[in-house]
Amino acid sequence: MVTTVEYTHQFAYAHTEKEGVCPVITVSMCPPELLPDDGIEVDAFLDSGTSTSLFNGSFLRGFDIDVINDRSKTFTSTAGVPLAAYLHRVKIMLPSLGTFDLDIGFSIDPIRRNLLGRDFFNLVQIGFRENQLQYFLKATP
Amino acid sequence: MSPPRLLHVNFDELLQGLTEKAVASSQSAAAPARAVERVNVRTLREREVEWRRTHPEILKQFENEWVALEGEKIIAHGPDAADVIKAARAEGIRKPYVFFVEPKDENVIMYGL
Repeated sequence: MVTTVEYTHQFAYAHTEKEGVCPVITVSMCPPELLPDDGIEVDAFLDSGTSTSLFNGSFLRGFDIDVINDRSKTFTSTAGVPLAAYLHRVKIMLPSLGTFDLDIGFSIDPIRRNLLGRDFFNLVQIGFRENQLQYFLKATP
Repeated sequence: MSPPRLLHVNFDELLQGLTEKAVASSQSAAAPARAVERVNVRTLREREVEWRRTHPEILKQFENEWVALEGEKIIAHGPDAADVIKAARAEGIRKPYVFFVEPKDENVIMYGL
């Protein structure tokens, strides 16, 4: 029997300069030691090909937080090019969906795109309807 | 005896019809009442994202840079996101919205990383 999922939130894909509409979500991101209102808001691609979310490390420097810590990770692209990053626990906040604690990799190299991967998907229920340029979310997996 | 009729079935239309019936059935009075928020949900920074969509000519001059946008005003920009965040805060934006302006090139296809 096929499982039927009932979502609570429906979003349209968002505009990007490079590719038009994409499965991009704007999230509020904040280190845990700061108040949510002292965070930043950034775009992230919803990427099922990424097991651990990856953000630009410069964001942390914007909070005067050193990117380098003892939680080093190497992210590798499909071409095998390694990318050095360090895991940091941050809060990802979405309006009406809630706040999610995630250990996100923050890159040393200046990446252009932030990726919300399957570690985020594991905390919610998410579905895509590419033909309609929509995605769906539910706050619990 | 008349020859058998040939049925010309458009399976896409058939499937669409069945799907619509299934949806209508699930939304009938017999369906359990649930307080499901099944709407197009507003997202963060819709105003800014719409401005980005409608002002590509302005953003073109900021290609390959990070931009802090508040409403319809570019607060700060530059190649380093940290500098842009700090510059936006210095301008009084407590929680800046920052994004990278990727150059448009239809011959280049991006994947995640």
